[in-house]
Amino acid sequence: MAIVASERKHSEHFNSAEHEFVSSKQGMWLFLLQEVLFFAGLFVAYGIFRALNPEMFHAASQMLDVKMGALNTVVLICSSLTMAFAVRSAQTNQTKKTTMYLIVTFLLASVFLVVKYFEYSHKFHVGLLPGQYFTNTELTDPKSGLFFSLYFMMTGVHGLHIILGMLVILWLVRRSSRNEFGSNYYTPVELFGLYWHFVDLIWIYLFPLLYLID
Amino acid sequence: MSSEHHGDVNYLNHEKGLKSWLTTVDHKRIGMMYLFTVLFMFLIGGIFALLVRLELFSTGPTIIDMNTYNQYFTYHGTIMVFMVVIPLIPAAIGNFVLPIMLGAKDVAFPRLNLATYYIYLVGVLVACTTLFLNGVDTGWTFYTPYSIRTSTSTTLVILGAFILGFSGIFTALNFIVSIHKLRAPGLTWDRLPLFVWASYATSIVQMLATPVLAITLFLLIFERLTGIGIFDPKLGGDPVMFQHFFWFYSHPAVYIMALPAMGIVSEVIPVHSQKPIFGYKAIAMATFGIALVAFIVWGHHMFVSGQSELANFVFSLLTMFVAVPTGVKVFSWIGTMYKGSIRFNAPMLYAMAFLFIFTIGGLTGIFLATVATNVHLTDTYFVVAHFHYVMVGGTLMGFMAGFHHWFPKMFGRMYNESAALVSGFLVFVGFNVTFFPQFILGAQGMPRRYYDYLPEFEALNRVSTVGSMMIGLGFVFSAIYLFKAMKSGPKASANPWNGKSLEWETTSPPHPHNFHDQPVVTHGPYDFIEQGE
Amino acid sequence: MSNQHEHHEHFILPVKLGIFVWFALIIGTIITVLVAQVHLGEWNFAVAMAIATVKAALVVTYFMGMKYETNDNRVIAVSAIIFSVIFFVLTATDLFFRKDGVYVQKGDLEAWAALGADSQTLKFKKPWVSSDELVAHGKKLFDMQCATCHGSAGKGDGPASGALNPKPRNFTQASGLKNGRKPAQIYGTLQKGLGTMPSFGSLPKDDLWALAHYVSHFGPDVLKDSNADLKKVGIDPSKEDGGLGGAGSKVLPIDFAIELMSEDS
Repeated sequence: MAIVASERKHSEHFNSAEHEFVSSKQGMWLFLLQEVLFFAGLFVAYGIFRALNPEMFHAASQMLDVKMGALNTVVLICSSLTMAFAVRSAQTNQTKKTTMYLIVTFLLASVFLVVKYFEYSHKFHVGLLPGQYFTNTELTDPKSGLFFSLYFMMTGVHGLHIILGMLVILWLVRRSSRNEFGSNYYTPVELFGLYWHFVDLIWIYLFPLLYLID
Repeated sequence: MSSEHHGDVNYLNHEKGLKSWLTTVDHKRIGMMYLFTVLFMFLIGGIFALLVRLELFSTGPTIIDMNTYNQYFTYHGTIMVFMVVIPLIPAAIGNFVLPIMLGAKDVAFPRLNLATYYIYLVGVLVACTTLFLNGVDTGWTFYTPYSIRTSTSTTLVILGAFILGFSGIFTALNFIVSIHKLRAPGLTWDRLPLFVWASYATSIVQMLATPVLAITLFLLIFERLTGIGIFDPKLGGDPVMFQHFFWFYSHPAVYIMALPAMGIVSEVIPVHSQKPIFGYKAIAMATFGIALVAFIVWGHHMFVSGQSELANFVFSLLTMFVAVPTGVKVFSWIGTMYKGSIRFNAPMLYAMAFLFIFTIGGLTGIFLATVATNVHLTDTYFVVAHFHYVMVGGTLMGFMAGFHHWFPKMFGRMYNESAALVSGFLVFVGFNVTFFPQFILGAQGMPRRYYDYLPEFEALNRVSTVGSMMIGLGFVFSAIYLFKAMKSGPKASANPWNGKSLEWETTSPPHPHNFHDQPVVTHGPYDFIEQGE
Repeated sequence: MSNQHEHHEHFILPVKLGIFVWFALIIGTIITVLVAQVHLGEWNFAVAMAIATVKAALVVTYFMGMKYETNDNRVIAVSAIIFSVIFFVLTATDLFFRKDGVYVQKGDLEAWAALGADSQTLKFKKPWVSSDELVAHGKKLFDMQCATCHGSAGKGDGPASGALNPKPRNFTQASGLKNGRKPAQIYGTLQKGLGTMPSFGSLPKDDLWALAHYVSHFGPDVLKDSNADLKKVGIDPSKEDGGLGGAGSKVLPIDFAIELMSEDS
């Protein structure tokens, strides 16, 4: 089953492997385009409600833990670097390293989720819940539930992307450990790298928008 | 498919059996699967339409009760918009024709292409299971806050529409990459057939707009399940913001429906006038103009929603710009027909029907785009008539033109021309008899979506119902002669219309790989020899 | 795009560059957190977004390799941002610019309901009797509703008059008004319309009277209505409300509307 990278043939409706590679990459960019517009809905809702309720957003944001948020930012930035190196080592035929970097990326993503789990469970505990389930008494503004709706929807959709990404990493690790990637064929690693950096990018904005409202 | 073996291998006969169809990655077969599934959904949506019209035949309860009526018009709208009119041309005809027009062996990502079909199927099934549960009564627009509170199985329908969106997104992605990367040697941008241009613009609109619908419906599902309150005034949210989010997709969706139909018309008119298209560049650019304007006019659906006066002013003004590129196209088509040797056959007549109906649809849009008259006409039958003129008259007439135009290519057989003319006549006349009276009813103030109406509206409502039966009859008749032609029509030649674009250079029906040899393009798609002066 | 056969050298991220970008991103994160502790008012948001954008730019340029991408893919990335901005800006034209107090609130409905379903809430008592207030109010309405054709001095020379045939009347002449110059006669004309002039009967009754009084001031002298004149246009001057109350006007069934609103909110 295992296809050695150098022997890999391109699909017959493409002229060459290169042709298939650039086409696939463009497909990935288009996929990210629709991801941006998907997240845009959340960011627009956030921007509108924040501009209309500045005090409420300020007070509610104080309930979030900046340390946890900052830690997760660093974790994701590191995972972006390891992912970039995973692509690099595939491009330079260092297959073992590719597998290793993919595994490290997976572990960093797990750390991210664990931190997120602690944050979520704390919020659940003190009643900082979305919309109608909001029961916290420290925040007095009756609209405070709205902030946590946005918080949970934005981080939740982002977290969902992390989880889906981790599943793809597992698939990539499996293929990489079978020596399927190398300098002649690394399309899946490269495309997944684009996706992973994009997920990092969303978090780069989510962190100041949610945790650091002054 | 056909029992007799013609000796030559084509995409229909090179593999047999259900499994070869369900697992195919051939864009032509996927296009056919889409075609029949979408047309089946068209039948279902059409039955709902006829039931709604029958109920409105007389004042008072006629055949169904009020709640059933609310559900029927909701299913009619949801099925027709999300499951029929949006995928009809891109997914069915586009999938079949577009790669051949490009001179490619397939779309860029054939397996993804098959996946979109199954995503579509899952979306349809999820949404339609509610027919056997509590039903849905929100109207196809799912406006909040009613859609949050209504206790029917709305969540599943919303989920269905959410899934259907991804089918469209991935089809669009596939088309864009195919057009960028898979053009045959010599097929430069200025030699692309206009249907390709139209599909290209449509795909871009679909890529940019559909994800916003996805997140909106995603939020709405959570609104229903966990009460997040973003669209719920009770929890501090804004129900009108839902309308903004919804129409950011759903207005461009109108162009997702209209642009491919315009693309078909741009193919059919030059081929059946045997004359080069008038204003090739103008049409291509106008296509992009429409696609761009599509994104900045959505607020005209919300003039009476309570949005700010500024927004009303801005959106009303911007909406007027739609007229410019649309006008450019209509005049270019008429310019193409001028002094051409026109064949008055089914594709051409459907294309002319498109011109007639779509122009009325577009012009009545001006009344609705103007805030002052919109306040009077909002939520009346004037709106219903207007968007049926645009969506049905535009997309469906365009589809019928394209279906007849490429029918010989798809099945390698010809349909009965006189049968096509009879049913086309029924559909065209029936359409106008159904919907023209609705302009009058709306201007007189008959509100849309109501179960009952004042006695003075009865006469025109009866006319409208009779018209809807004519449309139904026309389509049933179409189905009969087209099925007959698929089975036993006379064999069609490779190029029965003397077309110049690439799809006419391969056999009918095409080879599984579209072309025996890689085609090389040396001329434009409309290089007909000009008729003598 | 016939460059399908060309072979591009693929961009391979150098280790040093990768580590440099990573380092810059970490520094950016630290700065963001530190700046947030300082109170800069509205600048906090601007600074945080600026830093985030620089970080995002680094990720896109080097990690995602945009620097070495084709123009097609650059256009794709840029259009994602442009259309998101369009989405935000046009939604904001509504939500940021709604005027407070122009929407009917539940309280308004209750207040109207308290007046009784039939009461036209007249701003002026006995509007058929001229007063300075009424004339001033009439001027305001006239400039808004009538001056386009009739001209602000009532000479029939408004900006739109050029398009009209016959020309609007000159109110400053004694013979200027076809139905007569008395306020009640003008009131009647306003209600019914005359020739090309449409009916203004949808305006509240006291507004119509205010307009009538104002228009009658354009003439060489101001005439007074007799009781008979008033009766002709449906006013019974012996009654306090002139018999105007409940003059067949259709009013929203308010109890029903309140019920709906309270159910909905």
